[in-house]
Amino acid sequence: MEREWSEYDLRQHIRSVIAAAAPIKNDVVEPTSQLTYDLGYDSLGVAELVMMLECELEVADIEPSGGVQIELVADLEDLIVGAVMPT
Amino acid sequence: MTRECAASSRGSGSVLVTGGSGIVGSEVVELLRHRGWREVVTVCRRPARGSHEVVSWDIGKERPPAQLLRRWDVIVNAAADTRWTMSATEAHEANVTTVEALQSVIGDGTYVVHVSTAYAVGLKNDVSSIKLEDYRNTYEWSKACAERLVREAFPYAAIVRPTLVIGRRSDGHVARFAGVYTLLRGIAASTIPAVVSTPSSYLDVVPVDDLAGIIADTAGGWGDHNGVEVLTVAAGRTAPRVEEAVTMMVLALNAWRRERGCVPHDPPSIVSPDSWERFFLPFVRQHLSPRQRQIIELLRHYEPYLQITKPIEPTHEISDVAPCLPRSVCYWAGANERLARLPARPWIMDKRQGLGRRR
Repeated sequence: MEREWSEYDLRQHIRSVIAAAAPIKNDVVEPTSQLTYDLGYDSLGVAELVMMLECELEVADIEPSGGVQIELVADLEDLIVGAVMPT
Repeated sequence: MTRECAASSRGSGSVLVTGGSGIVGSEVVELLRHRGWREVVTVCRRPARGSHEVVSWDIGKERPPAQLLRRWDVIVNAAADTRWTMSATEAHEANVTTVEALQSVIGDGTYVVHVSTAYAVGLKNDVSSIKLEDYRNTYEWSKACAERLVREAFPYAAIVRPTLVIGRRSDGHVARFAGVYTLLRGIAASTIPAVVSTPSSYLDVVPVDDLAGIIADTAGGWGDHNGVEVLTVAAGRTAPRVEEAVTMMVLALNAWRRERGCVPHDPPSIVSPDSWERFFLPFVRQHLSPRQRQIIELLRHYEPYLQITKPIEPTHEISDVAPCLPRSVCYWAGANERLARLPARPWIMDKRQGLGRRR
């Protein structure tokens, strides 16, 4: 998918994918939503989610740096944004 | 058990249901209200906005709210973390500490219906072991520990052990998608390259409404019980085999996809555990991306449930579960359209490089 993203649009897109694939369907998915407790993701679910986003956004394997734990929606957004739009 | 049969249950007392937003808890709450219990109060960690009769309580991490410190006729403990990939500490906190915390709200005469799992008996067919290696994962280990605590702490209790829970028999509706739905999600997203199983393995599933009916019936007899009884809710010998179940799920998903103009998925190959470990896995590991290797390793947590060759022996047998699978798939697809519509990206066998590349 060739596209120039603004950071805002990219974060909104990531959030929509997270919400669409979540085992628990919540009306509101916020940056502070917890992937596990609020949205029902387990570690396999998060890995599959990242794989889907990697495929969709055409980025290679994205790894969190510095041992950052991916717990919140915002953590995953930061990870993906960092890979798609490196500073 | 249908809702119409509910009239035969006693009900009508006060009942507190923990885990009210979960797969089982939410169904039980709805059924108890339908059956006219005098008072049905739900506990959730984070109640949805606008929810009534729901009390916020992060069990085990917070003191119980004052409004819960009163007499309850029945407490249905459906609060649990069912992830198979938890650390031992996480599992203990989620599934054992919560039972400990309930002691502060359970009074003399309160009847406890504790929702466990048929797999709490682990690999030794017994919940007495404290050793992690006697269970398939930390979830089973923690549920066994919780059962031992229920027996010690609560004089009047029922321990309900269901197998894998799927959507309602009638329409496939379910509050959240876990367990078997992981397999479905993997098929739809093409993240499961193969199903590691044997021809004789069972996939024992129970519809959530059947299970909720049994739990509500048990709660309804709250004045009639003595001691601790154990109920195992399962399809048992009539459960579908894994290959049959996977075929039904793929057929249902593809029927849904075809209606929407999507190309059908090929069903994943069923590979024996021996072939997988000895041939496929060492070979494909060389050709997978780090992400694919990560997923293959995480999928290993699920494999034990696809390799159960001895049928569960139920006390409450659930019949005719096979037709419930396609309904659950259709419901899942409707609630997860984006996933259900994903194009197939099968893992192909490249004779030069081996299984691993996705098209």
